Amino acid sequence: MAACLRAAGLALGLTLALPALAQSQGATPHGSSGAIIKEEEPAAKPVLKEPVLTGFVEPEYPKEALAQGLEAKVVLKLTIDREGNVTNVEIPSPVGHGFDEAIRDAALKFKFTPATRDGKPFVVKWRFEYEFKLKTVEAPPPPPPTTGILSGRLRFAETDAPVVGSEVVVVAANGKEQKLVTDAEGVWRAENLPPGTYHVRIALQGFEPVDSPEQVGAGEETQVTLRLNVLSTELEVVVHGERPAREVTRRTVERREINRIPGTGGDALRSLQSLPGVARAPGGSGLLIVRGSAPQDTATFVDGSEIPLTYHFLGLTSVVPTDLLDQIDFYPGNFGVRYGRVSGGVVDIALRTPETRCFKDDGSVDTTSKKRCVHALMQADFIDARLMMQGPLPMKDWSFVAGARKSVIDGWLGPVLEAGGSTVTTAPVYYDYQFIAEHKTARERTALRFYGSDDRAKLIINDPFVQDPALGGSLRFGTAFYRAQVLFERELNSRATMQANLSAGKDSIDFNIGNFRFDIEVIPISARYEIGYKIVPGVKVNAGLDFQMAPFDVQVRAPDPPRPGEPDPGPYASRPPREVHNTGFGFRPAWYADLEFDAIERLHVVPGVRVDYARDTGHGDVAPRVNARYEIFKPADAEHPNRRKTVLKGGAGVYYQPPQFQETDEVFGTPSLYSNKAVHYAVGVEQALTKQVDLSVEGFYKYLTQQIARGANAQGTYSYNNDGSGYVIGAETLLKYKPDEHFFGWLAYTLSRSIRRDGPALPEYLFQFDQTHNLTVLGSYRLGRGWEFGARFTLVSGPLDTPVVPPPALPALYAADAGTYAKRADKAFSRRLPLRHQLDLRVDKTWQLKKARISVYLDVQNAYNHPSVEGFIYNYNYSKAGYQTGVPIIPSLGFRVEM
Amino acid sequence: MAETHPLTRALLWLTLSCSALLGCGAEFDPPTEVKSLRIIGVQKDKPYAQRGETVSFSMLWHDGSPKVDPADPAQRAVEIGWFGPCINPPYDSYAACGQALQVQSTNDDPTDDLVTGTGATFQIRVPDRDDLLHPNQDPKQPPYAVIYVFFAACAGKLGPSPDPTFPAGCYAASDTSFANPLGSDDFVAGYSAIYVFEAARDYRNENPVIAGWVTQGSPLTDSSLVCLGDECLGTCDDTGVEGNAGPCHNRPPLLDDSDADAVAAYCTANPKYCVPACEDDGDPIECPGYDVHPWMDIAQNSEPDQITNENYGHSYLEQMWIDYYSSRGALGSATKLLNDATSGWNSGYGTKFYAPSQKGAVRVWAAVHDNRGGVAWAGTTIVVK
Repeated sequence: MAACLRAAGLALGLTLALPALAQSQGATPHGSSGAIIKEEEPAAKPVLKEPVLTGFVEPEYPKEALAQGLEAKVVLKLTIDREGNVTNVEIPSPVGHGFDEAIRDAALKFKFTPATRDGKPFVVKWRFEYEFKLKTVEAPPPPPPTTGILSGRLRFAETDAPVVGSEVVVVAANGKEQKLVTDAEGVWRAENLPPGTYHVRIALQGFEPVDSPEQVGAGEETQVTLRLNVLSTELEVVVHGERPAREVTRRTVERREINRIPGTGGDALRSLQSLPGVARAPGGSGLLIVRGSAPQDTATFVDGSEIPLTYHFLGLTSVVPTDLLDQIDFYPGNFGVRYGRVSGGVVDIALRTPETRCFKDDGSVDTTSKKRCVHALMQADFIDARLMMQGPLPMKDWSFVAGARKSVIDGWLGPVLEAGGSTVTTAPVYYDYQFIAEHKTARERTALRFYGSDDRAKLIINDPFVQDPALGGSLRFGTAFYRAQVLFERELNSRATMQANLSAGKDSIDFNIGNFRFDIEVIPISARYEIGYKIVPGVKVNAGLDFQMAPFDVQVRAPDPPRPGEPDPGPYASRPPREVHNTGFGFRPAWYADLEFDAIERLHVVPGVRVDYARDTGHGDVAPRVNARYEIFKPADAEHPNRRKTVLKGGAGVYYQPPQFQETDEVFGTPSLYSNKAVHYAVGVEQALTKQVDLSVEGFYKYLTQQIARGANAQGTYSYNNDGSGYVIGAETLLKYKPDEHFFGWLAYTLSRSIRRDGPALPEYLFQFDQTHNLTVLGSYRLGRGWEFGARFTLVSGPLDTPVVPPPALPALYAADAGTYAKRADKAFSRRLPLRHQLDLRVDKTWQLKKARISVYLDVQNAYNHPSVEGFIYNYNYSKAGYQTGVPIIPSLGFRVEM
Repeated sequence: MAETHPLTRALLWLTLSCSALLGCGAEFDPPTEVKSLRIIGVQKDKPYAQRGETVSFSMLWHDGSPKVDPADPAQRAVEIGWFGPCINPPYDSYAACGQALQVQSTNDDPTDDLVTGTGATFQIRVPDRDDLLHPNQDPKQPPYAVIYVFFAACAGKLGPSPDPTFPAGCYAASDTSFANPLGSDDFVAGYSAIYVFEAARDYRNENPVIAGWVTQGSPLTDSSLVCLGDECLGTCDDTGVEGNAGPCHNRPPLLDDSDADAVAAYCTANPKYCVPACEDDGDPIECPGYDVHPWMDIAQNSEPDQITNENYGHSYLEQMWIDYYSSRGALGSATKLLNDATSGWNSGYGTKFYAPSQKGAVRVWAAVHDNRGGVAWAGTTIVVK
């Protein structure tokens, strides 16, 4: 800066002095002829020297001008004396803003070498310019960053298109939320975030919610690309075999898996049949045969209230639609004391909380206008059609779900049969219905429910069954039930929780054919109440009661059915029926308690006891049980990213199952029987192999005693007793790839043996439902653009069958009174039919529209049309036999609309 | 004439022969075709009897085996044997009669000793002893006894049993050493049950009453054309010993198939009983069907179920059904409902006859049953021209 000024000053000075200098150098005049004209030499001029600035003083920048960002040039006339001091400053053209005063003050302090004439200093007025210019200050080096940025792009998984206008919530570790909205490119950005872990949460209607943990570093920008996967249903259905820490076995089937397993039609309960420990039901009936038990040994509950049937006719579909399920707890064995009165397995269905969120047209959550709050679902296929609606109620924190379903198979099957000349021209009709109203807050939940199911068939069989003409004539078949249920859950305080469930309803089973009937009407009333209390951290006690009361009216008219292995009494058509008409009041209370505690770190033990009483038998049962889980290795965390969870589990317990009605009835059975008793043992390992792959191996053993069997009595008839026994032993393996963006699947294999004995001196035999090998391999892959393809392969041991006596014995005798033949059976269930295998395929296509989602699926059972052997069929006199095979290739087309 | 659209046939095939719900299975010859030795019915004159009464049995059988030489049907005779009674076996099961017979053979009561017989008829006497009846496990039902009678029909000769669970076997007439027992095509064994009640209750069950036969809406009662009951039975050689007949033979044919004039005269007199042959040999889809059924009078049948109604207060009727048979051709239904316990009479109890491709006389039978042990039968001949 100073150099510039000096240069300017010199230039001005020189400008003033140049003429003098030019003259002092003297030019040579020339005459007109070019002759050099010698002029008279002038007198010698004085030698002048200008003043030279030797001491510059920086003027102070006027504050006013600095604040306003002003600059200026000021021209000065300095009077410089013989000492070189500035004695006077004149500003011919003041510029104002303090510039003049500032430069005057500074200029008066300038120091010059004086101007000289012939070496003699003299006073001179000297022109001086000064320019006030603002300084460009270099920014100080920035402090080290203390925040970071988290940004990302949100796209639809199937189309890779950006998700526009969707709310993205960034949640800090302290719970503080920052709400953002994606732009036209699906981009969102959160700035000034202190370093740490944040959860990026996205909940868009119709898509699986996202909760992605991300790390933000100081001075860094973390960018993530998140993709939204289409929801198959409105809810997530979790099928698992464990309420954490109270049972041994956990089986998890997620929502997406349930709706995509081929061969199940998206039915959650049918998906259970693909799990290990569940045998293939005969003829696709949908029965649950769990770990070598009979179907009646496994009970199905809806939030603790037992229902009489799980499936509609022939296992076509379950009585509670999948979309209404919140989760399914499946316990193949060693279940806790909360459940009783069965010795096989337990299926407990929990109904969902209705959807209460409102959504904008683009599918993002709407918290303001609340326009689209009620949602609808419609689905139809060749079997049935259904409609469901849900949403908030006008009362605060209340919501509702209403659904109904009706069969459509009766609409087309009957006319087809009639046109084909069949004498059976009526197809079964079924429907189910549900209504739920729920109030839910952070600490309390109250649900009022009404649901039910009805299956009916009524026809005249004009062509009775040839091998037993009693199975003909007027047929009426109906199963119906309904429940009114009140569910109440509450956190009493930080330590105590309470659950109560009161249910009442009606069960009605009517089966009438010709001369026989089986009519049962029961008014089941059940009450459950459970309190859980954390005594100290890691120790919790649960206690509850489980009461069942049921007025009943039973009317049975039928011949006494023989059990396998007993002498054949001949066709029903030739045997006079017995009849009983009983009314009464069943009462089966139970009390239970268990203690959950951590014996040592990561070892969770749950001992418990259950006490049951049955008024119909007059007996009580005490069932102790204990389950334990030891977490050998915890799951991976930041410190141990490669660690995989390993759990060792085991349990032992006693389970009682009271007799069935006909077993204690005075006419058909033997009063005062004791309950069937089973002791379950299980030990297993759960190992996470990778982040996506889990392996579970479990061995089980069930010791059966006090089993109800039939034997000869002194009167020469059969009666029931408790002399039966047996055992079931086996191992289950589940290798599972957990659902990710593209794929899910698993391999389930069960090896088992189920043995019974009808009396201590009688030989052992394979149980009717024994199924040695059961292999299921399934998977489903998202191809993108709304396409998904799945396959399921099953390979199971053939069922057991009772052959006819071998030659030379006659295979049947002519029962003259019935006009048909009575099969002469060889040893019961002594023949194993061939291995059965089947491949099911499924293809789904989904279109995501602005206000709706449409899905179409094709589900093909038995894709390569392999005729699995279900049993033997015989000609009229049992002299010839052939295989009866299962379903041929069965394609099923369905569509679904969700709004 | 039944015609079905090809699409309907396809749908019918899909839904019936291969039920989507019940799966598929092997197909066998329908039970209506009598192509072997068959018992069409065994009747007893008293399905419900009382102590001391005699119950008479008769058997309708037919040997439709291809081994029968139409030119010499007598060459293949049928031996029929009977034995009983088996009184109150354990569990009321015929299969436990071995134990009952053991007891009967060692007690002091000669009235329950084993009785045997041969031929198409048999008689047995119900023992008249006080302890015959026993209480019913169902306390609302009266005391009762159940008595089983066994029978066997053999297209050869009866002999020692190769099967310890049944007392007789069947062998070819030429099998002198009883080395090769015959199978189900040539040997039929079975049982029939008599229920015995207190005389005071007077429980009875009449056998179904058949008035005649109807073909294509044309009723017939002429015994030369329609047989009822014993008229349908085959003939058995007379041994001269009552209750022990000799070998038996098919009932003689109605007319000589080879006599064209006889056939023509028959068809002129009974046009409804004379149908053209069908080159599709009885195919129910391709051949026309002709209505056939026994002539049943609802007033003489459809009895109330006396025991059920008296003891339980119901208003049930007898459950009744008809089994149809033919020597050739095909029948639409093997079994048809005649009367339902609750919904009553089924007027559509007939079936259809589909003619074979070979001309000649075809026998058609109907055996009518009720669910209280009652049986009756009727037969006719349809000439295929």
